[in-house]
Amino acid sequence: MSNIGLTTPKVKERSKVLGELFVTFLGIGAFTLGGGFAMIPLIEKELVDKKHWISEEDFLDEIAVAQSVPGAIAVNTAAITGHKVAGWAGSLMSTLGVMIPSISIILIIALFLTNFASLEVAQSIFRAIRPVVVALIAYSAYKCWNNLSNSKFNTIIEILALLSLVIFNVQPIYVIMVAICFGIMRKVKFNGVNW
Amino acid sequence: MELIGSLFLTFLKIGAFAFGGGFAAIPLIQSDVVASHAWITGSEFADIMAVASMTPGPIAVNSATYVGYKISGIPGGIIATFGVVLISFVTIGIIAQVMSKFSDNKYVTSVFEVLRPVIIALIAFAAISTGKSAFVDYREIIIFASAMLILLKTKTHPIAVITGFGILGAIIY
Repeated sequence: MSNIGLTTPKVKERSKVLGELFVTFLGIGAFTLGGGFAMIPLIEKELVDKKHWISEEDFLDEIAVAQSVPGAIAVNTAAITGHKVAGWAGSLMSTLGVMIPSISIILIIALFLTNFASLEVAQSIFRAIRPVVVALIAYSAYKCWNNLSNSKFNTIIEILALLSLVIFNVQPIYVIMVAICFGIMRKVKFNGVNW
Repeated sequence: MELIGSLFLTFLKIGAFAFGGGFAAIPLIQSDVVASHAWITGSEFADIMAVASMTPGPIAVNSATYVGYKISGIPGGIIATFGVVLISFVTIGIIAQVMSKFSDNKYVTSVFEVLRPVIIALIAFAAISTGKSAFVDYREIIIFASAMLILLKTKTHPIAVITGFGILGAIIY
């Protein structure tokens, strides 16, 4: 993994990047319905495809970290992406950006629209967006899979992980913990040989 | 003031133990906010969850803001939200720094080699589990299939796809 950080010494350039991070994640936060996974295509479009701030492979590693740490996946993904692009300040700007739309919307609803959840128009919009959210997540899975090499190693792990999640109902965090242990163990040498 | 402090600590704890995102936070919020502190009732909690899942943003953040507001107004909403994200924000920052320092370490490299395919399985699993509750009748299947086709075959921005189908929903349902 490479961390480019922000190598440019120009202060103006840096504040421009921080501003862009904030605005980008403000937009992402306003449209992240259905949890953090649905935001993956949004972040990818903005930061990988458009701005080229992070590479496709680093992006997958970031999602891995965001998943392994407690807390909302959307917030974690914003924080780590911001950190990668511009350190702690970048992390703060993208986290604030991704949270401000939801905080404002919730406060507006709590103040003026206490019957929001029973509004017919809100229910209609929500009902149509739910299958779109499923499509966004399925599309993320497809794109990430497409970007990762189809080695035997990857395929076997994908199948094992999916089986334990779907068939054996293993909690995602345990799957991640096993993966981390396995990642370390396979590099540990016993009597001078890899096992 | 004591209430605000207790609100902050409660949500700090919820944020620290919500492994696997917002849906893992729901039972934690319920046991702390409804059962042990009795700050809100069970039916208020159900309403909050409905609103939190129907509005943009992480469900953990949305519910923290809403619960905090219910308990002590706008400052409460902001304090609870701050509490729920603080631990993950700090942890993420530290991990990001460690990662950049040890990016060539063979253990770190190996862990990510294993994690990458695991994350793909996790995303696929998330699609399956959200799919289970999203399909009511044939209309949802049509929406899902057309959204999928648009995303795969065109360069349409995901935000445009969400907005478009949202408007469609207001018309057809």
